[in-house]
Amino acid sequence: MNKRLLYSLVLSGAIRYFISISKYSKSIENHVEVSTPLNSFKRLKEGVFLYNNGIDPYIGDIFHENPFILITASFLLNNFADFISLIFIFVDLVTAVFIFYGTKGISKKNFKKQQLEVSTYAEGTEEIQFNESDINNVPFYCALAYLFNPYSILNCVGQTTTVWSNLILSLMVYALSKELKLLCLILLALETQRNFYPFILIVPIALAFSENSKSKNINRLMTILLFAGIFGGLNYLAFIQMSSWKFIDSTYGFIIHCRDLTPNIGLFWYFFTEMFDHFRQLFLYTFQLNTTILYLFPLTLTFKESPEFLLTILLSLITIFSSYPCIGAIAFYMSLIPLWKRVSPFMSHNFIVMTTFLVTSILGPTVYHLWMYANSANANFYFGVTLVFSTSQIFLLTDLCFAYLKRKFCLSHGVSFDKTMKLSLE
Amino acid sequence: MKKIEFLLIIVISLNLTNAKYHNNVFSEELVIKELNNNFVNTYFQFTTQWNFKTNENDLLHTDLLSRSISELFLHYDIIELHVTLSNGLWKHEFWGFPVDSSGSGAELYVWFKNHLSQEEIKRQWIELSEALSGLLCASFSFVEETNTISPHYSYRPTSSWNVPLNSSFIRYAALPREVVCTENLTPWKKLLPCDPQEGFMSLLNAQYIYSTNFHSLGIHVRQLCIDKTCSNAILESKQTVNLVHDLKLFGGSEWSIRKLFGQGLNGACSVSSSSKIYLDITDKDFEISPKPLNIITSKKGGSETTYGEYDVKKWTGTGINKMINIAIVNKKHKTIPITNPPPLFAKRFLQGTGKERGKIVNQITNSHWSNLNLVVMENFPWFVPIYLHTLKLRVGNKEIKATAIKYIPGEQRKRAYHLEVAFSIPAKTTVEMSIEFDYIFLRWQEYPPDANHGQYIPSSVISTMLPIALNYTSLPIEASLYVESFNATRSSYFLRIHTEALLINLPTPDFSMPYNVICLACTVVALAFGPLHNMTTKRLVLQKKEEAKKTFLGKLKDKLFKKKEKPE
Repeated sequence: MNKRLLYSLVLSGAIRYFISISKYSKSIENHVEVSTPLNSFKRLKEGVFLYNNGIDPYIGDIFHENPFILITASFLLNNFADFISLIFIFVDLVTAVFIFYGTKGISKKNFKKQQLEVSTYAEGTEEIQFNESDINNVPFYCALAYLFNPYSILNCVGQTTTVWSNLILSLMVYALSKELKLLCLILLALETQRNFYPFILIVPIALAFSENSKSKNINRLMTILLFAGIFGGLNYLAFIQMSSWKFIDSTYGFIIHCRDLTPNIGLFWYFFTEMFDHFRQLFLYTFQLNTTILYLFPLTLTFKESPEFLLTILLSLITIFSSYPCIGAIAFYMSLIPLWKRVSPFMSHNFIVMTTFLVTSILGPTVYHLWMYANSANANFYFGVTLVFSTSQIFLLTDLCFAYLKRKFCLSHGVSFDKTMKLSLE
Repeated sequence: MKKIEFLLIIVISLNLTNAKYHNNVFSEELVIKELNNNFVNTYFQFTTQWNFKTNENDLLHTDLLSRSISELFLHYDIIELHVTLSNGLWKHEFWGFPVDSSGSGAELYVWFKNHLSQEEIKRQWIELSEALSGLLCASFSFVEETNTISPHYSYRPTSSWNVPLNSSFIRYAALPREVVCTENLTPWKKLLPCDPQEGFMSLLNAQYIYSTNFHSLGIHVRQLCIDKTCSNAILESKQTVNLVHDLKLFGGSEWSIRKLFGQGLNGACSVSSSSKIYLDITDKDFEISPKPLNIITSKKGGSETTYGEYDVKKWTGTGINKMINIAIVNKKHKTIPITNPPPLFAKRFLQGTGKERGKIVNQITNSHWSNLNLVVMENFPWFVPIYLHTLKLRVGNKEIKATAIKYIPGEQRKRAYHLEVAFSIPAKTTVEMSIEFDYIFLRWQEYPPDANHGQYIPSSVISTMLPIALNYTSLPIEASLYVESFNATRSSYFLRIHTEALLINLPTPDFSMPYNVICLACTVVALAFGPLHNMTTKRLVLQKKEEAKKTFLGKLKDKLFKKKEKPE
């Protein structure tokens, strides 16, 4: 293992450990930005408790994780109850290691792909081409972005099940880079079971696995069918485990219908609190389509030559627009952004985005406290902050997409053009 | 095994096949008892017993019993009905036990016949509560599937039927928000056979009743079988009023019926077979005027109570045109009453700050010298999600274990959280039962009017079997009249008490904002849609900057500049 990676693992593990044994860990766990109804550790404990006492946790309103998480958590809580926070820290560090190796594979692949096309590039574009040193540097930046991102640290200390999600996703990225198709699909199915939205990631994955095959469309179709089969099989396994289909409605139904309106950092909660009842269904489905398949096809057609970039974009899209977003998921897609280091020179909103992130991350908990505890603010304050936070994430996303397109243009047309000319969309 | 034994103690067998029965009897009783700290408890009980044949439509041909009540029994296939409408809080710690405990607001529970399916019971229950809503002018129409539970351990039938019924045939609902007032009293009075101006009913003046510290109206109707097939049965209807008067409002500790009710008693109801007043005179340091004709001493379960009995029927014969008044005079104030707390009492409150996470705590005190087994029943509305794993029973710092737990998790907008916890409370200790819950955010149209007033959580119900009858005033299960509770020594005494209802303040959205919120959230969605749409449908091209620079602001500047040039 890389020496500097090892150091950062130890350092970030220590940070996580010291925060988790401090008196702040409980209040971090309780924060709505960290724990949502979908990933909260308290709800997980309740589900396990009910399950162990012979009460079906899915008939109630508290527990919304899938049966596999239930069984795993039941095993962990029954046998290693004293080491839970250490297990969470360990899982988070393993996630970073898989991000490192996954992004390393992707960087290698990007570099190889570039070797084939480099003859068509314009002169003087070395600065924005993938470099051989990137293969070593970029994965480290990605791992760093995960290890020292305050969002992922808080997420880990808060012991949310998003920590497990991130592990599954990082493993999936790793399997993708190593071209382990079956493993990749199983992991995607597991993550879809937990969070529902990631099913759209099957598109970049199908694209990636069909790159070297002769009959691409058949290959892609087979991948999608295989995924559907695995997903169905997993649900059937869960059904055998729980001997009832009730969990379907309690997990996917709960996510799609956004039944819990507890404030979170997303757009759904206040929108559907204030929604008129006869328009609720219409807006619910509009919003869910917006999150899942509205941008799927246009983005796929635009970025089809780089499935990994498409994966990054789709991952951030479903994080921003999901019904119960949390900062842990944001930390994961952010850790993939350094992969596109050579795109970053074209990004123009970095300062605005970072400043807004900083301001809203401080302002959000503050106005929430004022609303809930000090009684000196109301729901609108927190809603306003979450709107700005979502906007800044959207800026980051669109800026990244636009920068990617600009880079592509510049690779073939050269970076230095007349000062009187400007790149724009026509 | 131990668990089952423990639960069986609450099961009360009721065998009436050999009991004496009455055909069409109406009795009125009034029990008056001085409580500590200058409070007086008056308890009215109007009992109608009526023998009928269950296989005919006999139920429609009533005489003394109100037809509205017998129709409920005919149409909704019920064998037992309990409705109470209460306001205020009975302070068990200082006042002892009431004859008939009731939760604050409206409370309703019903036993259905066993030939109904669960679906039919569901329908009948809703229809019955709507009928009661009309009958009593109370908001029973708010009884829905979402606030109904089927108590598992806490309730057993007190009626009899040809087969034993399990908990799937009972329905229970509580409406703690209900405000009880005169509009409930008037229809309640109409269910009695007497004229409202006659007998004990003449004392029930709304003005005086609703200025009391605690008042509770009740209707308890049950069917009791005479033979084994239950073709011959008694319908027993008990209408009760339980009041606690604060003597400070009457200027002193001496009181009389006239002071408490605004007028004296003008005699007995003409159709009643007995009209009696029982005045509790145990260890009293006062004189009564007039003196009771009969002194009754009731010994049960280690406690002795003395009652002065007034037979109003006989009294009327001697004093025509005279209002009957009983007065307490010449209080000596020499003795300072030592408050003997009853064997069991409970307090309930909310813990925690803010509107995010809270804790509901029940403090239950056993002041008796031996262990008490009890069942606590909680009925949390769907908007109070509780975490069962945080349920803690604590004596000081020591945790005790529950003997049995029945829990049905609630579901938003569909089902209430039903929790029953059975445990044994050690002698002379206070057990703190606590459970955590979340404050949740509702849809803006689901908040009640005046949303910042808060939402009520119904009282919890504590049931136990007491080994002694200290402070115990309830009737034995087979008894109909209060007089039958005298000298009724049993091996144990079934007790049910209700705790406080709670008020929680859920976080509220800004109710004036729906359009703004919809617009703003959609704008943010559009912020993503616009650029992504542009990028995926358009091509990147190099353009001359000048062309591209013609923005709105630039055009505006051009125009302004030109305008300024013209006058020169």
